[in-house]
Order: sequence, then C-alpha cells, then structure tokens
Amino acid sequence: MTRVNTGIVELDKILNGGFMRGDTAMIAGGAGTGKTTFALQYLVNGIAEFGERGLYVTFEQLPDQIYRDAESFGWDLRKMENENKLMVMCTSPDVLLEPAGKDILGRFIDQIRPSRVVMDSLSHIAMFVPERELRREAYRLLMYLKTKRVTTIATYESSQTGAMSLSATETGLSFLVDCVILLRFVEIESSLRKALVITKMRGSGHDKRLREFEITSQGIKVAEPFTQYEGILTGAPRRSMAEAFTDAFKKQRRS
Amino acid sequence: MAYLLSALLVSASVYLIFVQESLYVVFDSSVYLPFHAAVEIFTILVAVAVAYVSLKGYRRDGSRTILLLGSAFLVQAALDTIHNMAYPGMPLLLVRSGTNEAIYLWLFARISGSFLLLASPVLPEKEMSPEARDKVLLYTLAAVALLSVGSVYTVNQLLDKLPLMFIPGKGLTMLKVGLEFLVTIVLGITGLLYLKSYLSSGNRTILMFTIGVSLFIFAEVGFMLYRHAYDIHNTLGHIFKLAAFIAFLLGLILVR
Repeated sequence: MTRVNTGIVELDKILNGGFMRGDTAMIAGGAGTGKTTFALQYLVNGIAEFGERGLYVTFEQLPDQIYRDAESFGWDLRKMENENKLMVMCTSPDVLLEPAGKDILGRFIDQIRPSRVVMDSLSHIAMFVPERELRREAYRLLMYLKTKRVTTIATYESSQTGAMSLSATETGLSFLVDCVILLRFVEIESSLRKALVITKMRGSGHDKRLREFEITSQGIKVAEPFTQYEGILTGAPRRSMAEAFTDAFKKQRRS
Repeated sequence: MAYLLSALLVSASVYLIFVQESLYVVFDSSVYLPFHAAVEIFTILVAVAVAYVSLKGYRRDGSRTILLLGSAFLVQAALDTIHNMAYPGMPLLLVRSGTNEAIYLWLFARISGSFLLLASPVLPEKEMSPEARDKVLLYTLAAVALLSVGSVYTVNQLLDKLPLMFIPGKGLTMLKVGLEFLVTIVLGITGLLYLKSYLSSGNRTILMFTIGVSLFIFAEVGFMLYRHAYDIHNTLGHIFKLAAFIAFLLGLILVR
C-alpha cells in the first residue's frame, strides 16, 4: 500500500511514512489548535513537493479569507488555482447533503482530478442534520470521496473542556475514518502549548506518543514527544518521576 | 533543615543511650534473622527503585551524574541481596554463610556503593550521546553482574586466603573497622556535598538524600562497634540503615 506524505517531516515519520493512499483521516481539535493550517499544508505540500493536485472544500470560510490566511505562511493559493493544481470550493453543507450534492462535488473532482481532498469541517454538517443522522450523512460523504480514490483529510472541531479523553468526537464520527489525529491545547507550567497525538490508524503501525507542535511562519512544525511530562491529556500534566529526579540531581551539580 | 538536624540529634541520642554496657544484649537467631532479612529486603527494594528511576532518567538525557547515582544503588541492591543470603545462620544458598562471609559482601557493597555515590556529585557532568547511552548502560549492568559473581566467587573460594574481619569471641578486626571508617568518610563528604546543594536549591529530594546519607553514617557507627552478628550494635546499625533507606524512598516520592 503506497503512502501519501503530508510533507510535514516529523508527522510523516510518526505516521510511518504518511497516510495510506485512499484513506480518510480526521484532524480533530478545539478552535485555534491549527486544524485548517494542517489541512492546507497537506494540500500545498502535495502540490509543491509531490505534484499531487488538491481540492479544498470549506464550509466555514470565504475564499478571500483562506487566500489571505494561506499567504501568511507563504502559500499562494490563487497561483496554484490558476495553474489548475488546486481548487478551493466554498459551499454550505446543506448543498452537499442534497441528493444533487454529490454531483456538484463530483463535478469539481472530475474537473481538477485531485489526489488529495480536504473537507473543512465535518462539524458544520451537524448544523444542518439532526444528531442521530449526522453519522449517516458523514458516512455517505466520506464513502463517496473514497470511491473517487482520493486521500481525504476531514477536520472536526472537538471539545477541549473537562477531563480530556482520547475520544476525538462525541458523535462517533471517528469510527468512519481510517486515521485520527487529535490536536489539543495543553497547559504546562502556566503556558499554553499545543499537543498532537495519533489515536487511530487503520492497517498501520504509528507512533503513539504525544508530541508538541507549533504553528510557525512556514506552517506546522511537529517537535519531540512530551517525554518529560505525564498525564498531559488529563489536563493536569506533571513531570515524570525520572525527569524530576534527574533534574534534582543535575541542579545539584550546577550549584 | 530542621528535619536533618532532628534526624542527627535523635540518632546521636540513640547511640549515647545504647552504647552503655548495661544495655548490651545479643538477640536469639530466631528473632534476629527475620529482622535482618526484613530490613535487607526493604532496603534492597528501595535501592532497586532508586536505581530504576535514575537509570530511566539517564536513558532520557544521558547524564553521567545520574548514571553514577543509579549504579551506586544498583550495586548495593545486588550485593546486599547476596550479603543477606550469606548472613550467619542463613541456609546454604548460592553463597556460604558466616560472619566473615557476610562482612566481606557487606564491605564490597558499601565500598563500591559509597565511592560511586561520591563520584556522582564530584565527577564533572558529561552528557552521553543518544547512541552511546544504551551501550554504556549495558556495560554498567554487565559490570554490576560481574562484581556480584566475583563477590560470590571470592566468598566461596578465596575467603580462607583473605584476612579475617571478625574473630569470634573478640569482635571486629582493625581492618574491618578501618574499612568501615573509610566508608564513613566517603559518605560524610557525599553528605556535605548534598547539604551544600540542598542549601542552594531547597530541593526536597536532595534534603532527603542528605538525611539518608547522614543516617547511613550512624549505621556505619553500629557496624564498627558490634561484637556479635546478632548484638544490639548490629541491630542499631540495621535500624539506621532502614531509616536511611526510608529517607531515600521519601526523596523519590517527594521528587515532584
């Protein structure tokens, strides 16, 4: 099975080479964690580094906003669109949920013939369908994309409050996808940092450690695992015993 | 700091009381052996815990200071296990039992352990590269295993050729007292270095290790005074050893 590199070097490493081609991955996280940046970078890297065209379906932003935000990372989406390497489709979920919705999506796919698709975000579908139907509608949409043999990233806005669990969604949407990447804000020593963990990857091994990531001027940078801390997802991280013990005696050396 | 002073004062008072000849007593083996085994097993478990946490920390950041600290506790855990089996009155299991046998194993543990413990704060810090860490750790574990096997071999095969440490009816030889004194000096320097570090950092773990090393010095006093392997001074030595390892355990628990 071939892999689809995200182009984010460390992320590809922990994904054992990238997503499986044709799979659907979900990036779940609270507002501001970087889901859209992740998804855009996946498309931009696909075009720039791997020559793979992309389709970006957004339910939450107007194209101008997307172009502007992408420019801050040095990504010229307009140019990519002009070169027929990218298509930004700004629509409302109810359009795609209509019986003719799949035809509209299909036309865009046939037009640009993308290898990579981003759906930003699945959470917006919840505004148009009752909760009990959400899973079915999302299933129809994601399965349709699978039949088109594209590798899809779907974003999902998950809760960041309370005792944080590893469950990406409260509605069971994570069962519909092949890979789940969870993004979280974590508070460590009174500062807010971002953490990433892969909680699911069907048919492939992956790194299960929680890693720090940053949104830099070049996009997402995934860093080393949070080996110095334990209990990060509980919301009350603490330094691991070995780390604290080592620090105690190393400080002793410096004194 | 108050904890340290209290520990030192209580320890000194205990010795002033029990050093009196009128309180000298030799316990029956049926009482002493279970007590000795319980103390040794507890301290071995604590030593293993400290070694495990230290070596885990070493694998993460490659600090030589922590490697030496972990090795000091690991070597003591290994040799104290054999010492426990060799204690006079214990059945033959892997190693010959007897007072001189147990003393030799005790001294191997104390001398290697105390010098490694001193080396930890004294030697300059060196950070091992991630590639070298596991290799160095493997060599360290091999060295501890070799030392343990060598100690068993020495006690089983070479003891008759080695100087006596204990003469029944007379007590400890000058050599044994001298070696215990050497260990006491090494522990004293280590304790002072820990105290200096605690005064500048205020770290509770370092305080507990300072207290632990100080209590171990009191334990060593008992091991310089005893005339019988089951007597009151040996008992006091083991009680102080137990207290020292409780302090080390607290240091580990309080580390966060």
